[in-house]
Amino acid sequence: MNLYKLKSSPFADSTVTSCLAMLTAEDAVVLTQDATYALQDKQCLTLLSSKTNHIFVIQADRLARGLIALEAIKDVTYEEMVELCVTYDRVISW
Amino acid sequence: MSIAIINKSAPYGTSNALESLDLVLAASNYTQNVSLFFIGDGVFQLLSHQDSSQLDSKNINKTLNALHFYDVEDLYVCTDSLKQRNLSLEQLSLGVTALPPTEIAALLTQHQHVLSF
Repeated sequence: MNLYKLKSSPFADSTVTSCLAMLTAEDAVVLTQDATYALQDKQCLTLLSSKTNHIFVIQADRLARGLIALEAIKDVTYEEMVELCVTYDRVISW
Repeated sequence: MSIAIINKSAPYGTSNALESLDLVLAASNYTQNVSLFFIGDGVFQLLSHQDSSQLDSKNINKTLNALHFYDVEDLYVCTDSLKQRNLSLEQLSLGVTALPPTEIAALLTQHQHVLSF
C-alpha cells in the first residue's frame, strides 16, 4: 500500500494524471501544495476516485488557496499526514 | 513607458505570485501604465476566501486588493483559463475584466514591455 504525495497543479503539468496509471485500490493519494487545485478539476477527480477511495488533501494548503472542501476528499492536518505516512508501506513523492 | 505583467503561476506553491506583485508595485512608482494579466493557473490568485494563516505566508489576495491604492487598475483575466478551472467571475475577489485569449494577445501589443511570472 503506497501513499502517493502530489504537489503540482493538474492544470500546470501532467504529474497528477501520470500518477493514475500506477494507482491501485489499496493506495492512497494526498494532495499537497498546488496539487490541491485538483479540487477544481472535475475530470481529474473523477479519474482519481475511479482508482482509489483514499484521497486526502492537506487542510492548510486548501484553506490558503480558498478552495472548497469536497466530501470525497478528506482534509488532513499535518499531524494526520504524519500518521498517514506511518500507516502506509511507503511514501512516493510523485 | 507601458508594462504588461502576466501572472501564470498559482499562488503559494512558488513565490512567483508574490514576486510579481512586488514588481507591479515597484513599477507603478515609475510609470502609470502597468497592466496585469491573469492567465492559466494565475487565475487562482484571484480566488476569494484565501486563509493563509496556517502556511505562514503573505495572503496574496490581501496584497492584490491593495493594487488600486497604487493606481494599478487595468486588470484582466483569461476567460478560457477560468472555464478550464471551473471558476466563475463571481468567485473572484478583484474587479477584473474577463477577456478571451485573442483579445489578451491584442492588448499585449499595446505595451512596450511584457514580463511573465
